[in-house]
Amino acid sequence: MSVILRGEHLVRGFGEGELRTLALRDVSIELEAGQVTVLMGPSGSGKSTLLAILAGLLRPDSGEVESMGQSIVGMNDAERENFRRKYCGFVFQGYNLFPALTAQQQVEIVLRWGEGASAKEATAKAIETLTVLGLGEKRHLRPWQLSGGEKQRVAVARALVKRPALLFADEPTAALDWEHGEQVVQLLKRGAADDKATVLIVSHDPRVTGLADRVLFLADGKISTDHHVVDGALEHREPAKEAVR
Amino acid sequence: MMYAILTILNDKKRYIAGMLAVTFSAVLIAMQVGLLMGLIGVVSVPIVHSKADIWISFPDTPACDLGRPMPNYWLDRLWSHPDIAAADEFVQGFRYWQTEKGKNELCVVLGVSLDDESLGPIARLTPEQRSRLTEPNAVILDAKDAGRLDATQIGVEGEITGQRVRVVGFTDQMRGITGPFIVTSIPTARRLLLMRDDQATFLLAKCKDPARIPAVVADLSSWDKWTVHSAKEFSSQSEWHWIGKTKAGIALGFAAVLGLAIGCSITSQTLYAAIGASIRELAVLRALGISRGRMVIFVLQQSMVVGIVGLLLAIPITYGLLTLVRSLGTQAVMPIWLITGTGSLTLAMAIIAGLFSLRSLKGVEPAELLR
Repeated sequence: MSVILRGEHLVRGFGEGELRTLALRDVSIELEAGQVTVLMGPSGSGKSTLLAILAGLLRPDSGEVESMGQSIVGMNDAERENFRRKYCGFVFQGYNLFPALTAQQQVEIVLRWGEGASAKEATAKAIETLTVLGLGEKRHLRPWQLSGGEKQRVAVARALVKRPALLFADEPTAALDWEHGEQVVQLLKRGAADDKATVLIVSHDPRVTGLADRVLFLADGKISTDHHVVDGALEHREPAKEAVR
Repeated sequence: MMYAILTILNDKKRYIAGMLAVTFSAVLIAMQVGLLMGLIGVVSVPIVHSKADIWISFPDTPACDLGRPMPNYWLDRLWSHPDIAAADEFVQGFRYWQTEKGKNELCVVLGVSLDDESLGPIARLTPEQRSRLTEPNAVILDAKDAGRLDATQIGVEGEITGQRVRVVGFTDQMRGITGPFIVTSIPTARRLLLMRDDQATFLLAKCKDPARIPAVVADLSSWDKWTVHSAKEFSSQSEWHWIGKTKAGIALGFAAVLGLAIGCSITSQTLYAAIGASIRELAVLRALGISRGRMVIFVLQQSMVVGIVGLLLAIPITYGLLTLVRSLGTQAVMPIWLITGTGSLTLAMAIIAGLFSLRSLKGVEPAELLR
């Protein structure tokens, strides 16, 4: 499979002077198209920082990120914004849905504001995506009328509606019971399979690993292990030293 | 715009403060200006009630109640102008009226021609009243000034410049800003104002063709011994003179700025808080590559909706207050320019408030969602 996202020698710290802590210490990583990768590790291990840098939300202090054949570290804000609009979908831990908008409008707004899509086109795509995610009947409901699992599925629909090549999810199951959490990961996985998208999920839930193609463990700002998932079981890929490829 | 409207509808309680702030600003400005213009508008009552198209005064007379004596034989110049259909004289000046109880009141004596062709301010006088004014020292007052002059009945006398004058009737809508109007004949007015028979305060003219008024004004203005004004222009010049002279314009400007500042700060805070409440949702959209510029449009759309709703609320309130102040006997006007001006100003204020609230978008950082 082809490498679609590559991070090399990524270093990122927070704070200044004596208070400065390194969240990432020389991390290198390659992600392949159509693969679901789960990034695991304890709190403070640098998982979310790595995701943010790979997704173009945060700049590393040093290192390089090549995504979709482009170097995103050197891009200015507008270029990174444009890159994310073109290629990236996100699901966050919180649902972060606008209280005033229906499920359909939450999804439409991404196309209307982002792509400048017409109302008709945005509506058709939103309905299609929500229907695929089993929310066709509930598309006129507002967040307060939806369960936690349904809200997260709306958030997934918002991420998937523009069929991104790169899908990033930060703790997408954290606020859900396992039944709903599994559903959400399956939906991300299906999105990846349908569109050959590269999916990176940050999670501390070990049950998610069974649904992934690959599992990386991060500890103290470094990748410690790299596993393939075969029949739901982790299979060692190669020992991680400084970089995992 | 739809998302802005939906957001406001969903959280009406939050936005109502901003809407009411816009309403407050609009009502304050419209009523202040309306009341002041109504009050100042009284200055040009003689112009309003006269048929004259052109008013000629002593050079550089700033307002229609501040005329100075000028030769009335200059009327011949008007009569000889080919575009002028009629010319007339008008006498006016300040004098004290001593009431029967010995009280002194500053008044404005208006001496008008009494015939049907008169160009003086006689519109509020009946033919019978004009006939009565032909008696020497007969005067007519506005009924609302009668009490002030201790002359509530026909036949009551007062004294001006040591001469007895007798009230022969009452009229309405003939009140001045500086003091009660005493309407009388030109000969009586000259006696009361100690003016010579060959003097008048204003010369008035009516044009054959109203479309020629500006041309006639320009033509007559070539003579520098007088100043020529069209009636319309002299009316607004008189009003603006008093707005400036009384410093009412400053008070008005201050009230308007205060109203706008209060409205702007409340609206801005409302929008700021509303954006603050949606910051995580907006951050997700930023992560998805939606530009900050699009969010700026969203905020400005919200401020426009708040402004429009606030203005719509202001309309019935302003008209209710207008009816109230008019029923209390206060003059208040609400011309179209005031309505559109207030609307534009407050809407602009709402949008500026939106711009101020944009600082809240600085907090919209997608990376924050990952912490």
